[in-house]
Amino acid sequence: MRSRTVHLSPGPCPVERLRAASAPRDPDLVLGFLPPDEHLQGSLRALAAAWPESQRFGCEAVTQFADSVVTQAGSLQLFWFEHPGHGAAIEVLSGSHEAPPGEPEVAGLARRLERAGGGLLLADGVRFPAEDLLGRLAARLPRPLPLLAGGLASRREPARLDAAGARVFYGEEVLPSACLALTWSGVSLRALVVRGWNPASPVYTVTRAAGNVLHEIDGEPATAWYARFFTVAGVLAPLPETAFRFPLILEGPAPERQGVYRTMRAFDDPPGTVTFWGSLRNGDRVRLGMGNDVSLVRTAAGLPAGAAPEAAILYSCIGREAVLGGMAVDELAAIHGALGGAALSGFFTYGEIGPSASGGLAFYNQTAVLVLLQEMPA
Amino acid sequence: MNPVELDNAVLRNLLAYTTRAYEEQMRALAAEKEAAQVTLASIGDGVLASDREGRVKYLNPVAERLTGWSGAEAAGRLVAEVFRLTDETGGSAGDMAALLGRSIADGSGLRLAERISLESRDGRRYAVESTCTPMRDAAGETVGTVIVFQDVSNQRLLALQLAHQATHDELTGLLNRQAFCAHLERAIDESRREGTTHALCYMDLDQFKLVNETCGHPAGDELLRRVTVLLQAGLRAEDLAARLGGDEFGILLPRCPFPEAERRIAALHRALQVSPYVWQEKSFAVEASIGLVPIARPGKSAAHLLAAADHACYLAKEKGRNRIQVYQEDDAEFVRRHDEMNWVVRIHQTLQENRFRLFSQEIRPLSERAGQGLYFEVLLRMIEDDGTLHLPSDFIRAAERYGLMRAIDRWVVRQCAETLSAQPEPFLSSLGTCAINLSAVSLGDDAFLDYVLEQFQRYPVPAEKICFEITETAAIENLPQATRLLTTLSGHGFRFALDDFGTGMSSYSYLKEIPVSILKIDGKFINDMVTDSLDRAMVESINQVGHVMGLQTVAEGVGSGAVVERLRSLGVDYAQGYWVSPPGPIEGVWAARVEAGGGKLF
Repeated sequence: MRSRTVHLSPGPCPVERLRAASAPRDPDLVLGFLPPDEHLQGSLRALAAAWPESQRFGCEAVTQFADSVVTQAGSLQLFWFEHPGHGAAIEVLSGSHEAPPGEPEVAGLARRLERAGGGLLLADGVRFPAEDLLGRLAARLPRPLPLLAGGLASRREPARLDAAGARVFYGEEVLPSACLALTWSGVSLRALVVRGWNPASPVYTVTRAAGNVLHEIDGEPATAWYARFFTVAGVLAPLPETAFRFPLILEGPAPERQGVYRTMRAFDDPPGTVTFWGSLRNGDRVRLGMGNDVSLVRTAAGLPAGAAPEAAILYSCIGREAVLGGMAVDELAAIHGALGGAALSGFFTYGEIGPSASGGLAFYNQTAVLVLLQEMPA
Repeated sequence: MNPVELDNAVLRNLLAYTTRAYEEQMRALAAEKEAAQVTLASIGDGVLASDREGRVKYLNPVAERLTGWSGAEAAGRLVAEVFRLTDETGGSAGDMAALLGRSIADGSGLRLAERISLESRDGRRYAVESTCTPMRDAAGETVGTVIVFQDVSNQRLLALQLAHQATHDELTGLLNRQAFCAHLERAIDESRREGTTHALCYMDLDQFKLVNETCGHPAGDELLRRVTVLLQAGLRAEDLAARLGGDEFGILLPRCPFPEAERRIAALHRALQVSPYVWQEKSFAVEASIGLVPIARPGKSAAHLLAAADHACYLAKEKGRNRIQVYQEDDAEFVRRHDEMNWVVRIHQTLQENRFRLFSQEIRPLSERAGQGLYFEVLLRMIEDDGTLHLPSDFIRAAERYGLMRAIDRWVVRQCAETLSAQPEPFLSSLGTCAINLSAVSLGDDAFLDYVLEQFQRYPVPAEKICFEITETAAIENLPQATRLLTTLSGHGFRFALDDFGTGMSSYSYLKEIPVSILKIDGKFINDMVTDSLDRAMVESINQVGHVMGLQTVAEGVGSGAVVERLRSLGVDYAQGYWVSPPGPIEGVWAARVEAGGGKLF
């Protein structure tokens, strides 16, 4: 496999520049992370004009990565397979929180993931029930589970969810409330979960939660529980911003929820509750973690430097972006450095998918899931 | 407040809560630890904890006491050094290190071998039961083992005592019958499999009853203990002796050719007699009758061999006591005795199931001297499950030999009294005499008198209508007691007949001593008297003597009209026999006779 990234410029993509980036041969696969702005449709048309025969897919993303560059103008990753018959298959799964994907569709996807030995998921970060899909897939897939990784599209953050969603695209078509599933043939996948948070409180028990909304911890209203830690000199610190540096760490008891993080999305809205970018369940054991830009970059720098992959994709939580601030580029550089110069693309996501510590499927917040790709011999 | 200051302030809050939670956890842990230590110190089981390498980490007080090691001394030593298990013989009970390793590897609890002992540091041994369980940390990793053990010395001793009691005779300490039979079964099995020869003895003390009766039971018990000592001294280590009951002993000589067994038993017999048994200045010879049986041929059960030995012992007694009798397989007496034993079982069953039946035979008057009322003799029959009818001649011998006549007589008396009292009138007013046979045993039974009186009080029947028949042999055997019984019952109005007269002593002299009112001339003189002048003379003589003494006479076994005429001419008062009146079930016979009108001359 050969791969390279293209760091786009703001505005519509010039077709010639795209063609020049892929010369002498059109790529087999084009993965794009494009800004959610008025140029999206034009960019998709430019991609189609440049590489009409290539498979093109991707999602909206506010902040993207191209090798060691952090950008908001968009990034592309081009793939060429060395061996005939190797490649990728893309399928679209539609659904929303209100109308999740049907059982036959989920069962079909599980079968294909099982045959392919895993795959990548890109989903609408607002409207598609990605975490629910993971649970349903995990229930259908054989043990040990095949590797599944991916992320949720992001958009300019409105304080509240809006109808537009954070969309995926396939070819020239922009798909709201959808999930793209990419299954590879002839490509091996590995995934690393980059954390960087340390436990900072005793362990408590979630006593009432529904979906992403936390009502009570140890019988205490969730807002009151947070307030005990985040009240400084009699004043409540700004939330959820301050809580980005103090994510909630899940400590089980379900093995697949061990070491999973949750990022606060809204505080006291609805009143008395705290909303997260991922789910909480009654009985979850939780504690607050702590970290900052330095600890995250240090963790990235500590990644094991193994054999360099041929390509890599990074799904990093948007909560990390909030913590890293200007040091996001340092984390990316550290990660890219550990890859030995392999082509790397990615984006800050509304939630990342990766293997749990127990070998299950986990829906993370506040981590970075790094997927390493390597084409296998024919 | 800038973000860094804000974060630090939040961290301080978190630290405060974390510290508080940590302190609470520490307090809870300390309380838990204290509770655990108190529990471990208080429980009655020994607890030994070891690390993964099999080295002692902890002993509770019970474990310290039983192992003889203090916790401090034991800490760090190999478990096998502190917790020394042995088998019942004191040998090693296995590799402790391997055992602990297996527990850790399996990750599951192990129950240590049964019947093991713990040898303490000072050499004392305790019977223990013990389990070994892996110990895990919070992550589930095995970090060592916990051995929990209980001192079960008392329970095990008790179990041994109970087992001993279940298999041994309390008085002598010898095996009991049940245990002896089990050993005998094994010997028979071994003989069948390996062709080995064993010998079995049945020994009965000749003087035991005399010792008991003259000196009391303590003297008898002491005699049994003394015989036990003599037996144990005279037997090989592999031989087995048992007390089979009363003064009966069993001896099993395993793997002993029969000639050698005969020599050994003869020596034992002599050893018993070497010195007399003295109790409070009274001296008794220690003599025994012994039956000896070889165990060589397959196919014989323990019960059969024991019966054979018992029979041989019986013959030894019959032949004059204090001797050894070797069992002969084709001994006709044994076969007969075996049959009798079968009858004993059937008699017991018949009594339990109330399957004896009363029959009756009428005795008809021949002369004017005869009384006016009806005269019946009550006879006994045994009815088996399948309806088979047995005459007394089938089972009376066995009943007499094995002490069942007492029970049979009582059954007959009670049943007869009940049946008579239940007869509708005019039976009782028509009845002159109802004859009931009594055995010699009942004549010698002092309690029988009370029993008879009690039955006829419960079932009111005029005593003068009851005539007990006794044989002259029985009367003479127990003359003093028989005289006492007959005299007392006569005083209550009961009458007596002397049965089968002429076959025994035929002495007229004791007729003056016992209050009989009827003489029954034995049937063997009757039927030939028409042609045999000697028989006729005997009948005439007995009849005359009886009449002279004021007795009525009955001729038994009358089989023809010619005989009846001859008896009538001789003046015999009554005739009895099949030809005169056949026996039948009591109610039918009685009812038919009353209907026909009774008491008429035949």
